Amino acid sequence: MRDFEYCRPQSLKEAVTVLAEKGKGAYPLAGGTDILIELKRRRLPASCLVDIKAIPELRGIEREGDALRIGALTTHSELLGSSLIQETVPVIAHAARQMAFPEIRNRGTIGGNICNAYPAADLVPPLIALGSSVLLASASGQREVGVAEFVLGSRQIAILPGEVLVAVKVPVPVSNAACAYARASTRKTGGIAATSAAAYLSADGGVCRQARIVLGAIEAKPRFVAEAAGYLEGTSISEDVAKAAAKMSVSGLSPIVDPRLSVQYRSYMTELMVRQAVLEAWAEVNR
Amino acid sequence: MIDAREKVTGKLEYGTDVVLPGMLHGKVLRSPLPHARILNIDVSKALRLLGVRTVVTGADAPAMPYTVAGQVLYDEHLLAREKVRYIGDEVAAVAATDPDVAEEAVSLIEVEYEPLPAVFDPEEAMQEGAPLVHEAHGSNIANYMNFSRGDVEAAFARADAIYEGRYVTNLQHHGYIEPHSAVAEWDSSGRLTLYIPMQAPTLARMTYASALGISPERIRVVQCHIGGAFGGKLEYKLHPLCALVALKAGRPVKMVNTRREEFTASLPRMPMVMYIKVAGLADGTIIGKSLRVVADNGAYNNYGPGIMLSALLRHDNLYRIPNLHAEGILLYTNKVATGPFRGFGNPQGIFAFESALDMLAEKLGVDPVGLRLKNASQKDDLTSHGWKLSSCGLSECIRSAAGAVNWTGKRGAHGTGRKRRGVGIACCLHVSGNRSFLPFFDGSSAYIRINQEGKAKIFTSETDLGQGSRTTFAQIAAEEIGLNVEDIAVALVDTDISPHGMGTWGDRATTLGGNAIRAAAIDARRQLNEIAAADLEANPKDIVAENGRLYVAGAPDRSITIAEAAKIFSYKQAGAILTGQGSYVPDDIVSVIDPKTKYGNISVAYPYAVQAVEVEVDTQTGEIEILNLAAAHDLGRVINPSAARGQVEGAVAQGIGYGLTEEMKVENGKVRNASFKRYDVLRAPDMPKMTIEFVESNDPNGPFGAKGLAEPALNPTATAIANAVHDAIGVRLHELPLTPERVLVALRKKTEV
Amino acid sequence: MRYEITVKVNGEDYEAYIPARRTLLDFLRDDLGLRGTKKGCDEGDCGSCVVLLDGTPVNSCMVLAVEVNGREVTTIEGLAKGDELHLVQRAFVEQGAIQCGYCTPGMVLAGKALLDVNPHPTTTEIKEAISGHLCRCTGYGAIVEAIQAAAESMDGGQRASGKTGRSD
Repeated sequence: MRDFEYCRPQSLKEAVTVLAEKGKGAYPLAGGTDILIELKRRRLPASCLVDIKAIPELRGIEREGDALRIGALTTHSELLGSSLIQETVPVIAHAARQMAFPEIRNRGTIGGNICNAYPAADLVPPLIALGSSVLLASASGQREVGVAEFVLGSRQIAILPGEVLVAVKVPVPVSNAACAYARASTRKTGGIAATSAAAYLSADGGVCRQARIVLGAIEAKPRFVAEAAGYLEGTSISEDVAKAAAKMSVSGLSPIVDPRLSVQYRSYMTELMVRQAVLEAWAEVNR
Repeated sequence: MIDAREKVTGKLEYGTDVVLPGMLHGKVLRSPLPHARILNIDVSKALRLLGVRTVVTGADAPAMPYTVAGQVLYDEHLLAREKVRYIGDEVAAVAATDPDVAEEAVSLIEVEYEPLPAVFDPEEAMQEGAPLVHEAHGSNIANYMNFSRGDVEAAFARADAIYEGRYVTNLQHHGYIEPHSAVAEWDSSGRLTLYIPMQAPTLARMTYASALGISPERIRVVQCHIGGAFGGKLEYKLHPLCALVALKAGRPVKMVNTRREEFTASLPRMPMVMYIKVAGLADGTIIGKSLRVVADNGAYNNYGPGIMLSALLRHDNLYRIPNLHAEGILLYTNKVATGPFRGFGNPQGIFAFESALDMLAEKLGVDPVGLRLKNASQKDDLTSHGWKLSSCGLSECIRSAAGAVNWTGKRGAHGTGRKRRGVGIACCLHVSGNRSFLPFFDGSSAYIRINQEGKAKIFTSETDLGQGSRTTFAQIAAEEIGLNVEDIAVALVDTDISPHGMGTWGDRATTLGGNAIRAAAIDARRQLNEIAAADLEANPKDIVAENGRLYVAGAPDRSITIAEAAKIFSYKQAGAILTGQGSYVPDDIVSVIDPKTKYGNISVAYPYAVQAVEVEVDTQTGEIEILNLAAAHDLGRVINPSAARGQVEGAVAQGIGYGLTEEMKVENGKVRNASFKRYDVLRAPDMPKMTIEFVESNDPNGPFGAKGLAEPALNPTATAIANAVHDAIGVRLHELPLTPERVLVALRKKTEV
Repeated sequence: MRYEITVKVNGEDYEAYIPARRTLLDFLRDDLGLRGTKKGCDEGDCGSCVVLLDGTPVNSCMVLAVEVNGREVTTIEGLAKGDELHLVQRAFVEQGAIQCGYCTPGMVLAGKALLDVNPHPTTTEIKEAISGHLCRCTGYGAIVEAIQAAAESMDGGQRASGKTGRSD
């Protein structure tokens, strides 16, 4: 690793001040499970790491009205272990479980998973499908941006200089709605997603009212597949309907290169993952 | 395991743990290009960095090329001279006060390259006009073999069925968890000490002397504990390179590979393209086989010819096949050099051969198990290649493995749903104490010292790679001397002290090393018996030893301890320590395998392994799940049951990886998955249900009848899975690993047909 | 840049002045000489560097030493009490769960951390707990059994009544 500065602000105010002061080479450090690899491979021009782990405002999982507020520092293990998440948005726990291994999940955070903007990030597709947003703080105040708008592409996020991701706001699905996540990898345990799909569905009287389908890992940026979602809306979802929607989802994809698998296979698997996510969400809605 | 306590407390010192006073840290600059001429190297910026002590380039390394022990193609230099030949090739090296500074310095070295056309595919490398990896060699063909037994064309002409196929195998990494490392120190007399985790310190000394251009006498190799090797820790360039850096720095230097370097620049398993043809008679007799192997050496030769030879002929000895033909072409390509890896070519050859046998069985309308049993070699056979099978539990292994997966009940019963089931089997035999490719000696020697406290220490040059051979050695010595295992230690190899020995490879350790240690133990015991007999006024022949005591047969109270006997010896000899010496020279082995025909008995003993698996194939996703795996092994005799089980389970895990998930993906010479994140090794939740059966054929040449086990256990796994997949879904997969994608493509082709 | 840190390792206090870029792993091995913690991949993929940070298993290669200022670290060297091995260590020895030993320190600590929070794990839970640890020698079977055996030995008699050692 190259040499860098380190500081550990004790409050949000202090953190945004420091980030603004240090400028371009300053990066927030949360769980470190991605950023340290980038630093070790000398791919990140960091001159200062701002360790945000001492900031109380970045912690905790709370219900705020119709939404959950998940602190940016919440680890994947905490997501997995939270009964509140299990009761309200179990898909988040399910997605967190797909990631790496217990030790990495003990360190890696939800904020990091989003800000790292790695195409294969497992939390991002379900968060987008659920309509989540991120709360950002800077010296000039706070703002809220949808996760879909925040993640711009591979390793690119719509963060402004001096901003810190404080929390993620996740709308809790209403009683007749559910979200499911399916992913494929080259190995069963702890593999990086090769393709993934999240499906959010709501229903009314056995008919799908609202559908959102998000693809992950296959393209540089999570992809909303509006056509397939539109196709589902107003139908009573069956195996065949799901299959047709899945087929629509993969038309016109521009997959990023994954040296391990061919584009054809990943497209095929994407279709399967959409199908699986749609059917699982639908089963959950009708439970 | 005698060192279990040290391991479980973190006290055992591995190569990566060695620290010397004043030690510097070295790093290697590696080529970013697969093939390029070096026009200029500018190290000035690196040298100016605070903390940098030295930078070495090709100009500092000996001009004479070298190669590994016993090989004849001198094609390597410690650092690239005129050109680089693969992405990862060593270009320069740095020593600095800490690893971060060394890394920084490496990034400051400026190299000007002129890119050259490169060749990555061995079959393309054979073509006229292909870029030459080594111009001086004049061709990309590093080695060529061609030999026959009987008349294979006549056999093909009279066969009732013939199967022909092309099979391709993958670039698999050993994935030992401890990366390569070296610590080098030169003393004031110009003598080098290398602290290295190395399977064969004796070979290291010879090879590195030639690499450094000094006499072997000036090198002392101290073997460190090894954190996994699997064939990957024989000679490795980092070791002598570290010595070169230390020489120029005038200080001890330590170098450790990153995991990325492991995946880029170590010596993974040789990929092969294999064209096989097998012929049989209606009654299931295999009458002929020919195999043409195009083997991918990578950029340097290393042990390539031996690996290719093993792929060409080892499996033939499983069965009584009179007519054989083999052709092997070993090719240089602009990729990482390949080298020894558990199985040494055998898993590759078995994939082609044992897959082909199933296809032949299908053509003949006979059961694959029946076919194998009908043709299986038996004890005391002299095989077509001149191998003498002094013990052979093959048939028993076949029956055992097939029975354990309920072969007769499950074969062909694949069902009709999305998920189909099938069973498959594959066999292997391996060497145990492979005939040395060094003409000047073979076998093994050892000595055992017993001190006045009755504690024994074994000195051998056969290393423990973590498989527990030190424990096995202690058990063998304990049994002969009459000591408890706890009272026996096994010294790490130090070429200044240890007897000359070839090291651990080719499943030599137990068989050759074990026999030598047994002989040394018998010698020590003879001396103890004489002392005890004199002291107890008895005949040496009547002395019995047990639990550290020597007593007269039938009169256990007439006894002295081994410690007392050793003390008497010492007092009589002016303090000398009672020492048993032993050596083992395998008899009944021709001195050298015929270099042209490859005919001759290559090993003192041959272990067998048969594995049968039941798989479930998801025809929608292409995923293969192993439901049950049965491993039946003829290892001669079980000396340490727990270690034996561990060897099989570990090898099977590696074998499943070879079969299903492990492949270094190389694109234009660059390894694209150079980390454990993207190189898929099996993890704890991925292991299938497994049953293990040991068959004890009691080999007359093995210590207490034992033969090797470590290598054979990996050989048949991938092929048994491929054969089970064929049973399940009716398609033959020709390429490893058997990825879901390949399964789906094959299924699609089948429906199209 | 260098920073001063105070950290408790295996119950002993240390003060150090270290560069920000030093990982906890390198700090333990090179600055404190606690080389029982192993470096296998340095990228959080192999588990051989796992230590307990305030009781929780983490990859020490993925933590900076400056981050653990004021915290408590347990390494493999801190597990045995004098000559007396920890139950998990003893089980590894007795079950033959060790070959080359390079993954062993991390595996043992993962096993201990699991049993600290889940004294009666199923085999599935054990496999999950060590899923971040690569062992290239054993095929994992004996390791899983050793952690199971340690769980059983922790509450001896209860096994017979079927309360522990669930397997699935």
